[in-house]
Formats: sequence, structure tokens, C-alpha cells
Amino acid sequence: MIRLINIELFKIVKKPRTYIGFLAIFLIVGALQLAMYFEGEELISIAIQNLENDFRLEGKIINANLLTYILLNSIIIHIPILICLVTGDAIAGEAATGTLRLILQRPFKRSEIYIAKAITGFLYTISLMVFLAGMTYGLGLLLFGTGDLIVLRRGVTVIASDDVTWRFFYAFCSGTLSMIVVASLSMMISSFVNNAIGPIVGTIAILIGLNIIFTLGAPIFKDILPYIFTSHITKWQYFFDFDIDKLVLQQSVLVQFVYILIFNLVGIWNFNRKDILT
Amino acid sequence: MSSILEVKNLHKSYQNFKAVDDISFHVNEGDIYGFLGPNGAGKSTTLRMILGLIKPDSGLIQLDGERVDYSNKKYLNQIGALIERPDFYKNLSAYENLKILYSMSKLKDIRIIDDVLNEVDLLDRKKDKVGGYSQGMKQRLGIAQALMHQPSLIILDEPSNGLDPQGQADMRKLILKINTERRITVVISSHILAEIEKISNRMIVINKGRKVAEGEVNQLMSSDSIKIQIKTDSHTAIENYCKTHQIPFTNENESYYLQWEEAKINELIKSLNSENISLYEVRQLKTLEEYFLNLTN
Repeated sequence: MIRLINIELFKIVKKPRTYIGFLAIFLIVGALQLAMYFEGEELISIAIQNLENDFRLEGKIINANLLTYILLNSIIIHIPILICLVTGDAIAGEAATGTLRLILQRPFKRSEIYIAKAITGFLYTISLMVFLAGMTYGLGLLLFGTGDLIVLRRGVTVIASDDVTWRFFYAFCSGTLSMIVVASLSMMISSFVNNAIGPIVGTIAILIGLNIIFTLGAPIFKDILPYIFTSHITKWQYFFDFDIDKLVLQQSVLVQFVYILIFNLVGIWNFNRKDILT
Repeated sequence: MSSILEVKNLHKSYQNFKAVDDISFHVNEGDIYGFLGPNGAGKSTTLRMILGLIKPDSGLIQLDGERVDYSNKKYLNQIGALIERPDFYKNLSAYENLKILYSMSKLKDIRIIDDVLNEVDLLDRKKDKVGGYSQGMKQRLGIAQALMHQPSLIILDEPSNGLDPQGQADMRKLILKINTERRITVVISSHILAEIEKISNRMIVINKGRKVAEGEVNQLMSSDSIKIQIKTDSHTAIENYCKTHQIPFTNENESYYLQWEEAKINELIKSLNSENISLYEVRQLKTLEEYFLNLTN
């Protein structure tokens, strides 16, 4: 298995599209932080206009913590697209280019090849999230320095700067778990199709579709909402509550692990029975 | 001579389309075994089933007398293959591509990569990216990857596709060299009769998923073994007759083509009449070539 993972890592490292994700994060985060650096005060004053009627805000509101919090929201749609570029290509892309035929002629079980590709996809996902964390927090510190974090969610929560690091650590871990669910979904779709576009479009369509359906908040979906994986993508925000609801977060982790398991088992089952016609 | 590959009653259908319909054949050790048929005859599907890329609906595949077990891929250590196009990772060099396949073959001596690249005359281009290779170079690299794990059998599916006449001649030379010097049994498929005739000692002809003829190339190409074209409306009766008497046959365009000996044609007609099989037309096709040209034209 280690041998197969090393091979998959080698292929990912050598593939130009692997770096699109890192480049996109670098450009997006860089551009947003520069914009905030030059025009942030004005933007923030508009955003917190109502707050200033009730609170007296002192100190640096725009800081690395706030920017990291804002940019972590990009995991809802933007980061999944970048992840799918690589994980969606893992099987479907190789089927399209014919190299899948080549590797399946070697004495490894298809399930082993699938698992190696999945693990490599997860490692890529983790590295992308670490890069996102490094870029948002690192560049934020460089440009804005640290400070207390103001969170506008279910009221106003102000978190002291010395109490924020561990929350970000867990928030990024939670976000990474959600992105591994997305990677598993795109891998599963990748096993069903023979072109690399299908898994990307399919995964994003599912994410957007489920987000729209459940954001509308129709009462008939209320009971199943906790079991839909898209509703867990923003669970990292719970780490910035004053009283953290541990039970909700534990359930969230459990539901997401179940999704990872289901998506990968379906993917392996389909990959095992798939006729290689390309 | 012992049989290295044996295929029995192989079937594969896609919905109502029979891609491979009851194909049986065997390849002897040391053979260059030709797999001849027009485009869409079921050649690639059969070869992919041997490699486990496509799962058969039914049938038996034996390698060195042992039934191929798709759940355990170890049998693939004995087979090298180039199926249809020689597809590689275009952004990687020839050496890097082979290194990936080397690792996947669990080989021990890395020098084998240079050895096979040298064999196909690509050693001095090993650091070049495959994306920049010509079709002929990719085909040769395809042969190199098939040879790398020193298999006892290699399967080459249309290896001359897209090559110019010189490239085709070079490819034939290379296949003969592999067969004689490395003592590797070769199965080679093609839709060009002349290509199979030039290189193979035994062959099978298939059309529309069915076996049409099998045997020694010299014998099949001579007029001793001919094709008889029969037009009849006793479809079930003639098919049963052929199956009972183990006469290879195929059904094309309302005609039945039977493989038969020229000296025994009268005997066949009498026998068919005695079975009350009405014969509207009986025509003798001189050679396999004539028959094959009928199929492909």
C-alpha cells in the first residue's frame, strides 16, 4: 500500500494541475488581504455600523484573526472546486487518458489502487487546508498583526487574542474533515465516469444544490438536515461560540466519518466491477 | 507443446449486443498467435477479458493450466500487454513512466528499465517527456513496459496501428526478436490479414464476436481448408448440425460460412441433404483471404 501511495504522490507532485489550487489560494487570499490592508477600515465600518450604536469598539478590529475567520468561509464552495481538480481526476482523468488501463495491468487489486488514490487525495486536501491556514493567518499577522476576534454569529462574541489560536486549530481540523468528505464524494463520482470534468461539475452541483435546498429552510427538511453532509461544512464556526456545544460537534464528526466511509465504499465497489473500455 | 493460455466458451454482452459469443482458443508456449478480425469483431474485448480489464459474463481463462482468478491479480505478473493505444503519463519522461510501472510490478533490479529501453531503441531518449514522442516511439515504449517484468506471455493489441510501412516492418522485427531471443509467447491482434500472416504461426479469426476459424496459419491460408458459403432457410437445423459435427461456422448477411476441407465438399452436401436442410446456394471460397476480404469489404 505504501508503494502505491508513493506512486500516487509522485504523480500528483508531477502534475501541473496540482499547483492550481495552491496558486489560486495564494492569489485569492493575497488579493483579499491587500484589499483589506488598503480599504479594510472603510469596509469594516460599514459592516459594523449597527454595532457601533450599542458598543464602543476599541483597538484593531481588522487583524489576522478576523481575516482568517472570514477566509475560512471559502471552504463552502471555493476550496471544494480546487480539491475536485485533483481528486476528481484521480480515476476519471486516468480513464480518459488511457493510463488507468496501463496501471490495472499490474498485479495490484483494484481496491488497493482506489484506497491509495483516496489516501493521496486526502493528503492533498490536508496540504491545501494547511496552506490556506498558513496564507490567511501568516500573511494576516504580517500585514495586520494580532488582536481580539469579533464574531457576528447568533449575536456578538468577542474572543480575546490569547484565546483564539486553539479555536482556529480545531476550526481548521473541522474544515479539513469536511473537505475530506468532499474529496471522497468527488472520488466516488470519479469512479463512475470516464472524463475529469464530470466529478468536478458533479461534486460542485451537489454542494450547491444541497446548500440551496437546506438554506431555504423548508420545514420538511428540518429533521434530515443534521444528517446531510453539507450542513456540517460550516460547523467549524461552533468553535468560536462562547459556550461550545461539544455534543453537536461530536455528532458532526461522526456524521462526516460515516459519509467518508460510505462514499469510499461505494467508490471501491463500483471501481471493482467497472469494465475498462477506454 | 504445452498450452500457456487457454480460453473456453467466453461470453460478454452489453445489453442485447453480444460482443464476444462463445469464443474458445488456446495458445501454445512459444507461439506468435494471431488474433484476426475486422474492426468491432470482439478482439480487444477478448484480450481485455484475459487481462481482467473487462469481466466476462461466463467462460474460463486458464494461464499455465491455472484458472485466472480476478480477485487475485498475481497472474498479471506472467502477462505483459499493450492494449490499443500506448497511453502514458505525457508530462513524465519515458524513464519516469517505466519507473512507476516498475514499482507497481514489485521488481528488484532498477537496471531492467534501461535494459528494456535499450531493447526498443529508446535508451538515448529516456529523459524526454512522452508527450513529445512520435506514435512509433510510443508504440515501442508500450512494448518496453510490456517486457519489463519479464512475462512469459505478451499480448499486443493492434501494435502497428498508426505506424507507417517502415514502422510496421520495424514492429514486426521487434516482435520476432522478443519471441525468439527472449522466448516470450506473443498474442498479437490485427484487422489486417497480411500482418498476421507475416508474423504468426497460429491464428484465430473472429467476426461479430464468434470464432470463424482457428489453426496453423499455413494451413488456414492454403486451399486445403476452405470456407463454404451456404444460403438456406433451415437456420436452426444448420446451426445444430455444425455444433453437433463441431464445424466452425459463422452467420453473416443471411449466409452461413463453414470451415471445411476442399476434398470433402460432396460429402458435406450429401450429409446436409440427408438432414433435410434445404440448400439454396453453396459456394466455395478458395482461401481464408477470400473469406476475410468478403467480411471486411
